[in-house]
Amino acid sequence: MKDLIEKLKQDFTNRLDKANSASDLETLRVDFFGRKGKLNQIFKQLTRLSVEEKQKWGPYLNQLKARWQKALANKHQKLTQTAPVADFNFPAFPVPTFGRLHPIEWMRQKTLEIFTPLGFIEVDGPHIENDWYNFEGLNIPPGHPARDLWDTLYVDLKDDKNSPLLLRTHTSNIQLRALQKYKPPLKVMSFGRCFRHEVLDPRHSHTFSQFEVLVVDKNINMSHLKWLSDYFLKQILGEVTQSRFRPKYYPFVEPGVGVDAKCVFCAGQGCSVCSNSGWFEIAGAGMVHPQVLTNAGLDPDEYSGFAWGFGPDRMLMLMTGVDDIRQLYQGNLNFLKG
Amino acid sequence: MKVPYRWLTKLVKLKSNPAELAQKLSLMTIGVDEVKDTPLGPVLDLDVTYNRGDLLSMVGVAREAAFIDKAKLTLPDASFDLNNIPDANLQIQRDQTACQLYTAVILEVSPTPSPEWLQQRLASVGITPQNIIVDLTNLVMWEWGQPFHAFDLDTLTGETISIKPAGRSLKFTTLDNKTRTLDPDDILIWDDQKPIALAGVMGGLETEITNQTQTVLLEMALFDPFQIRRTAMKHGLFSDAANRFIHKPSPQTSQMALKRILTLFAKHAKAKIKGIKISGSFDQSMPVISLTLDQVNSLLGADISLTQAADILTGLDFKLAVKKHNLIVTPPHWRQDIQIKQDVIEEIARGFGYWRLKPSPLPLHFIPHKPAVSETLSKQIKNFLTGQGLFQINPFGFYTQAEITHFGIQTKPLVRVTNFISIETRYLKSSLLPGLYSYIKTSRPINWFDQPLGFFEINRTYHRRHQKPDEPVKLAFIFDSQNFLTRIINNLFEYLRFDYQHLRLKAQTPPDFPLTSHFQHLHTLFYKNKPLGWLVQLDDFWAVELDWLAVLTNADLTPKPSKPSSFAPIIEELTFEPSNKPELLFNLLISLRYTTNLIKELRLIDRYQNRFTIRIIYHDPHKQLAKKDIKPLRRQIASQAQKQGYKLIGQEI
Repeated sequence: MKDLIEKLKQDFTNRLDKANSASDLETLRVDFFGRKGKLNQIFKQLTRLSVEEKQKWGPYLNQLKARWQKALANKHQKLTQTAPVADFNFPAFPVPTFGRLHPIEWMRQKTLEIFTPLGFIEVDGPHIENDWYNFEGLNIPPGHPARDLWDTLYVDLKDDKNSPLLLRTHTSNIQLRALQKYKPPLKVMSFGRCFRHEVLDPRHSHTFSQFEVLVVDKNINMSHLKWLSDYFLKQILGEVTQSRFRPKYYPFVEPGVGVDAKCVFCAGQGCSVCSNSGWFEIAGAGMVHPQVLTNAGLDPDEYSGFAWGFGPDRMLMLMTGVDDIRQLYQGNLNFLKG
Repeated sequence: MKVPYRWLTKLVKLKSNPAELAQKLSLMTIGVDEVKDTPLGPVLDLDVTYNRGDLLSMVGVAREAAFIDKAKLTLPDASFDLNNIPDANLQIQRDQTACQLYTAVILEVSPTPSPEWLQQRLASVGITPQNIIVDLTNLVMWEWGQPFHAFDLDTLTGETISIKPAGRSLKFTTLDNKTRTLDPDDILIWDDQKPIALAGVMGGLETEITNQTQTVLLEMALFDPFQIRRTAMKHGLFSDAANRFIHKPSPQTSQMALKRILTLFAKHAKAKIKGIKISGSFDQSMPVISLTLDQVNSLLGADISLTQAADILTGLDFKLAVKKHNLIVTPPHWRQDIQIKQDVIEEIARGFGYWRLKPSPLPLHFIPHKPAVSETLSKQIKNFLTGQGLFQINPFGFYTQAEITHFGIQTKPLVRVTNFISIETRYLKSSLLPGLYSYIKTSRPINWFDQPLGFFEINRTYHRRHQKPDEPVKLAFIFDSQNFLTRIINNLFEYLRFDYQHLRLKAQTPPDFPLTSHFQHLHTLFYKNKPLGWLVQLDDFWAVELDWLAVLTNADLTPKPSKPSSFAPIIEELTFEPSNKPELLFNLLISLRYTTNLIKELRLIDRYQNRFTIRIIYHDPHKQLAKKDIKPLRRQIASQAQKQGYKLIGQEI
């Protein structure tokens, strides 16, 4: 009897160890604890034994059965736990976490937010423009050497006078359009794309953004231009900065100025960002040229105004440390995520 | 314009050092690109603008420096008396529009090397010294801004010099030993037989000064800036001379320069001046401009006194008469850019100092016009899309060559750039989809966490309509899965409160769809029976392009809150077996949603093999729904789904 039980114990331990699935365990359970199972067969043999032997092996076999059942249950739990957990609340397909606006869009919204409270409304002009609105009407006649300031891209479409249309070289094409559409008093702003005949490199791009404001009314003067320059620069770069005017030539303004910002990185002390000058050039501006007002059908003795424009791409690069303008137009997911 | 500091100090007793001078010039006159230290001393590089041609000369810069530094100006010796020269035996025939003034001087001179000081001056502005003849022409050009040209007289034929257009296409070899094909309208200088120079741009090789030269024809002329610019651009020859002709020196400056060069020839080259011929006049009339002090102050918003204004103008050599508060102003002859009173005001402003202008707030009495499109609305939509997990992109407005090839885009209808920079800037985009495709394709390999990937773009597209440009703005998306597409489009239309009953997706090709390959499942999206955009699969990406203006005009983001209800909803999940047209899922969701107004929410919650499960929440705010209320709805849903090609499974109907 003793040998028989020992053999059975060994058999059970071996098979329990080898079982590595719930179905293995089930076979094991049926083999040992089933009605015709091995344990029952031993219980049947007990009847043939003497009373002392019965008293010795009966309780032992009962304990063994309880122990084995527990071991089986434990093993079963272990096996089912290591199996993959199915979470039925988990979404059927993955969900994106977040997206971002393009940096230029961010710059656009920021710029418009600065000017909107002052009563500026946004206008936009066509990208495919005629010579009048882009050049001639702005006091830049055909063949005029001042046109060398703008390397122009032309398209294979013609205007009513059969001269080729061009891709606007600046947002200033909105000036005459806005003056014709809305009479003074007028405060308009425009943020948009412009195009020039430039080979792509880290500093230059054939496509770039420009922002421009135009104010025309009676008694508008250069001190307003100065105030607006200070206001914008402080809003966008912080209170440390201020504006500075330098003489600059644009055919559609007179006087014309270049607007510098006091360097915010060194507070005007001179650093690598501002090439040790303490200032960097940010914008171009000036009082609207009387010829432009005349072209818009206004009397330059009665009305005056100013135009003010800056390059958001450059400002954005300055603010974010992007050192290659192509990133703003080409780029990839990593650029947009960051 | 390179301005050597040492040379400048010969003309004006400067108090400022080079850096200070550069600072003052940039604040009061013109931009200074840099101050460069060279072995021959510091050199300022001025960024001369078109209006200030007078600053393309040392004398012009010296005048400004004298003004801003309050220093004494000494002009170079130009005392030569032109009246003492006999008439040259020469005829000049001049095209009046092309050439305003032509002067020819005959000199007997040998091309000896220049003295040391002259060589150094030229070297300091980057010109290689050659011989005294050429060097003096360069020196005076740099000094006065008036170019000269010297011909070897012995190489010329006849006794007539003509200035006229080429008239026909011809070949001409310029000084740089390059043979150029000239256009009929290029202006040339001719002797009796042949062209001898490309006027104002570059001389001819055949007539150049050599070591054997004994007699020189010295040319000084004023040419039409427009024509010089055109020729210089065409031949890519922006020589120092051409640059100065484009800015057009004043006739009186030319006269001074001529006197100066003859003074130098007599003094340093031992030249014998044999004769002169002048065609045209050195006379020049300057405008007389009248303005009031009030006009000055009201344009500048400043409080400049009459004395201050007068001091500035006289300091800049303007002639000035003051009558009461009127300033009657005549600019000096070299300031041909001063034509109107605003020009004079600019002079006063920069002389006064722009940094002294006080800011004053912009008047706020303006009533803003109503903008055509609400910026708030467009901002809300953009922010909504980023919240949905999409990234905004902003690529160039040109198709790349790779995009054209990949999608087989027909280039004929596209708007083309005629003077394109490279092939990549030749065709303007008629659809945003190829750009989005390129972007998602480069971004997918770096989408490390393997989340669904989606981009959107709002930009213009360019079309030709009856040979006129048309620039509709588009809103376009691209996704790396159809699930993502369906969800975003649904969410967007729900967010914008589009009326789903009027949205229809039809499997038809829109007339102006530009792609011809690498796409499938092209559908046109209609809203209220008008085309709104299209939906298409591009390789293994899904894309939508919508008309942005139509989206904005049909959107409604005003709040429409509903009262809370005390009745509970009924939630059930229905599983469908799809047809083999997966894009119909979109239509299904739309049709289910509008089967009845008791459906409050509808969501695609699971997808397994060819089955998917939709969760529906039924709710009536006014009463408690029971199972019997749902049953007819479910039957309706099943029949709607069946129309779209879907079968409801595992549910009793």
